[in-house]
Amino acid sequence: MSARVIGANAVFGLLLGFSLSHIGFGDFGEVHRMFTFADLRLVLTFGGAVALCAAGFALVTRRWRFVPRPAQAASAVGGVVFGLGWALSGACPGIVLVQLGEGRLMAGLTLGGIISGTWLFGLAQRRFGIGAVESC
Amino acid sequence: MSADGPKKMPSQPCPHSTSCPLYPQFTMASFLRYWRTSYCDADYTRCARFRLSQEGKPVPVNLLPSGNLMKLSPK
Amino acid sequence: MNLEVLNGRWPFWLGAVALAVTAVGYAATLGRLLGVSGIYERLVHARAELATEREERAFLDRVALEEALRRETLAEMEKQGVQVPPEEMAAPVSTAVAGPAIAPRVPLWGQLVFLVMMFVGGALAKALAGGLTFQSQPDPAHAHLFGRAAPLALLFGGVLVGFGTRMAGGCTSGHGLSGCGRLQPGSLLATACFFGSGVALSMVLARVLA
Repeated sequence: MSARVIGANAVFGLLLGFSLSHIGFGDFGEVHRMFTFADLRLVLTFGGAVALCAAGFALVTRRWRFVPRPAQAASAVGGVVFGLGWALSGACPGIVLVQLGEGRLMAGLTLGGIISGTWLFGLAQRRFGIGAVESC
Repeated sequence: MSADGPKKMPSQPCPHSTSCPLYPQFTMASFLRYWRTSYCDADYTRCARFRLSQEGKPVPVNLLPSGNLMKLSPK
Repeated sequence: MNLEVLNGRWPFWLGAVALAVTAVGYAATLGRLLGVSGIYERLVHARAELATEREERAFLDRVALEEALRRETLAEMEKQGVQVPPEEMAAPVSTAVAGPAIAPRVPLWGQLVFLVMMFVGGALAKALAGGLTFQSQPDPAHAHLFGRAAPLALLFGGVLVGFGTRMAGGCTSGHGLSGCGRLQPGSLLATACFFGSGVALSMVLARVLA
């Protein structure tokens, strides 16, 4: 396990957590205002990030071959469920960690929920075969 | 829909072929194409790697489509 | 020191650049798409993941992999009664077929470091923006909507997030940034759906509860 891999994970994890916090994604009020379009700052941040990512990926990552993501029912259904949870809790799997770092202790409940939901899905996948097709 | 044969073959190659770490090894120029003609380009649902990934489990790079786990040569 | 940068409410362009640099930089460096929900998946099944890492460690060496593959393929073909043309026995096998490489699995410990550093990043940001404090009550906006049911909303919302992100195979980073950045149809669909349902429910909650 190389120092490069650990180091890169550390640097980018720090950068992501730091950025998400400063953008304001850890604050339920900001997220709620994003979703109700009361304040467009977070909407523009996310939209701008996607646009810049498109440019960045087109230019920079030719060296690697990544997993394709075809459109499928699980993408849509899972997406809808995730969005409902985000609206209720104000968090996504990354943001919840930022919230805990910011000292929002109640995010511990959200984290417990996310871990439980992840585990529950594993059960459902083995039982019912649902879920987006991943690659080997 | 054909009347013969109990099983309908997938009409396209395995969707994982662009990201499977073993697929690039199965080149058509070598006897290793055996795997492609038996699994990837044919009935990929038989492939142990595909089946394991469908269960959401991690797929070891040394798992063959036949379900065999490759072992290292004794030195 | 430019205090504007540290005030916890970055202008949209700064946030956009920071998120994009993170997502693209991560992928370019590690050969894997940034996606946090996938890490949770791996951690929940840590034992299986670590066993798989152990199992395949020796085969990360391409020479070992090719050698074992040739040997095992011959054995399998013999078992199945398939003839091997002698002239193909020595044919070179090259994964240096033109095109990008497939990156090996990122070690689970590395991904755990990533999650921990996200936590640290949040703490650092808070410390720089106004000092670290603990907040044991829900955010005011959350309490305003849910009142005494706030903890339940957090817990249940979390379960939906965990379940939904795994069903969709990604979250805001995996689908939203990396997937949409690569214009992947599944990611565009998932992102539209999670954003759409987030908007819909939030508007309903604002109407009904506020």
